[in-house]
Amino acid sequence: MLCPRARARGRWWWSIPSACLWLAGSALAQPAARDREEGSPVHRVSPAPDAAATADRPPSLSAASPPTEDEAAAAEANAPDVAPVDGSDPSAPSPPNVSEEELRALQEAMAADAAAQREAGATSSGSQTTSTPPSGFALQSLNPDLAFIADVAAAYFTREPTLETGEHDPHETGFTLQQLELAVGKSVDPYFRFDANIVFRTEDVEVEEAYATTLALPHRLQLRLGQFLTRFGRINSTHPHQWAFVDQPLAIGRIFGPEGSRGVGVEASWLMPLPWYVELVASATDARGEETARSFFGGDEAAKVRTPLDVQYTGALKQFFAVSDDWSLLWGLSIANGPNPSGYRARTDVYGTDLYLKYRPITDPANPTIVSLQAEVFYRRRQIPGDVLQDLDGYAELFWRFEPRWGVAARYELGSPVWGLHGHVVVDPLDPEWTAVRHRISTNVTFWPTEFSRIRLQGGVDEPRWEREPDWSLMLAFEFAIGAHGAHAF
Amino acid sequence: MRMTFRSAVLLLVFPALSGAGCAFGPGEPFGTISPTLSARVDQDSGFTRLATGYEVRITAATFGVDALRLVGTTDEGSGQTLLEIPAGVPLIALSDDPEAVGTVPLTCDPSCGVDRGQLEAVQADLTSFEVVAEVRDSQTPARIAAGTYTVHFVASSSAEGRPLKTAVSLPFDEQHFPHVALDAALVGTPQMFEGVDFAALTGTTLDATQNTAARDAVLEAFAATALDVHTRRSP
Repeated sequence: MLCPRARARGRWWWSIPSACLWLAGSALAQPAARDREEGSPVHRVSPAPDAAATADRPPSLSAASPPTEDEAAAAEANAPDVAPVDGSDPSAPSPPNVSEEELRALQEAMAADAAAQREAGATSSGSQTTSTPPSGFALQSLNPDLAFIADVAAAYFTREPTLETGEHDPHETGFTLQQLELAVGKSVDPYFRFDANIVFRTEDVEVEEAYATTLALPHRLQLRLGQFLTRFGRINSTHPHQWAFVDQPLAIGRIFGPEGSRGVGVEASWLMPLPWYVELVASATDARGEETARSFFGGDEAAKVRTPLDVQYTGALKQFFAVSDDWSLLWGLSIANGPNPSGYRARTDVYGTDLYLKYRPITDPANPTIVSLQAEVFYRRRQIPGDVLQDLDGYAELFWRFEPRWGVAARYELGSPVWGLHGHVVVDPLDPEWTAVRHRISTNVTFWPTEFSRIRLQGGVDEPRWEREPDWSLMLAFEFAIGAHGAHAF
Repeated sequence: MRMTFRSAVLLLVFPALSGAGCAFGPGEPFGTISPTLSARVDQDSGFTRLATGYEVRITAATFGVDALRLVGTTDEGSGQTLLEIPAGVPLIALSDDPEAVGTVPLTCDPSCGVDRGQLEAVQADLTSFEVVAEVRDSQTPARIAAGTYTVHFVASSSAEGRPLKTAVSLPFDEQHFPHVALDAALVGTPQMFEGVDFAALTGTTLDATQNTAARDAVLEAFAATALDVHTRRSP
């Protein structure tokens, strides 16, 4: 198990520390494998590839599918090689005293490794997976995985301005570049992985996410540092290409902002040692941002971080239950707490629960059916001088893939007016027009030519009760993806 | 890491429990003012000699303002009214009946809350002013015979009121306790008669048309120093 490059140079002793790093990296960069052994879904960094990718991907239609995060992690774990390039480093350690027996044992081990590698190569050649030669692999490993994902939509609305709440949603009749997402990711070293999502729009470029994830913490712990979407609920931490609908649920935009709950900060997650999959997540992020933390400090320019109470805290508890081979259930509880600028030490709480029930008959490989039900409910409380503003929002969406390339979905959304402590409807300073209940129903049909493209036709009716007429919409959305993009969490 | 099932369950419910109580009660503004208003006369016992040689002793006084306006800088700029507190009826500053003189707590509608900002001044419009004073002359020969003079002023509207103002520096933000006791007082002194030549008056009532200049001088002197404001913060 020695570093191939060092072995080729004949400086095998150099490879001992790097082999240790490699081993550590291999073991620690694959929490998915670790988690599978424990009979549970996977931790954040290397989530189990959700074959349906939030219910909108067909099964493998192409042999050249992008690697899952498992594969990427395993491959990248080979990358670290601290040996000098030319082997003439004067600071290189001198060969240790090794007996002939030890040397023979090492040579035998190297020979066994080489044989194993040849065997593995022969096996993989029978499949569609490409086995990269060691020398080329080292070069390849210098480059991060890159993927471009374009989402373009044509839309028609019966009323403008529309009441869409998502930054990437179509907002007017006509064509919209929802986003061009550049996804970048790679293991930094055996201890960190780096991921970034950079979004290009017609008028600007935005760093949506850029964070490092630890790979080597003990006790099933993991940290993320940087700017990231918080893991509140189910859909908040996902990107548009993972959604089953063209537009974002109203609740996300209303509560967190057009971009969802996001901020610069740190997140810790812990895979709890329980008989079933339980993950505890806690993060602290910047509470400022008109588009990412509107229920907290939002766009208040005077808001400063002066105490630990001036940041947004998010906690989530995620539990997975393998109900049977064909049925699985994910249930989450979330809370977000942080300051708002309405008064002295005014706070905002958002409570949420999410459910994802999925049926996929893996016991019948010929059956392409996937049926999933995803629902989230949000309850928000905001202190303002003399009162507590409260509202309830939620959505439920049902997805059915009836053919490998075809699926349909329906979604119902609800947004209550804001009421105060005495139960009366009060004017919300953030959305003063939202004085009555709002319903929205959307349906769509999706066709996937391959895994890398998607065509979606969606119709919807939005009925804010404070308006006289409902708002009807029709959207035709296209998505195209190129490059390597890992599978998403379940 | 070993942990018991019980510990794990406790850890599961902890986030839910700790989440409670964060935004349960009503919030409070950046500033909550508890205002009071009083009126008084500051003078020595006996007569006070003025620079003009006249000696004055106030025997009765009543002052009134329409409201207290807290003015300062907010997110919208400087010179903003942070809060306006209705003041109500005129207050007796000096009387033969000591119990008639007191401090009146003021109330606001709907509340005495102040948004984030910097309080820079307290303003008011003097709408009621009534003073009775005994005056004598210290010079020899005396220019006037000792007597009682009265000044009476009532503004029919706030626009006619005489502006009173005093500077106060008080921030309202996340870093300072919001509760502020603001005690305002309308203070009269014999020195407000410094600008009056009693020998030149017609009669003993400054409200007479011929004495308008003297009355204005009294009101102007009063307005310059009358509003006295003290503040105290508390958690």
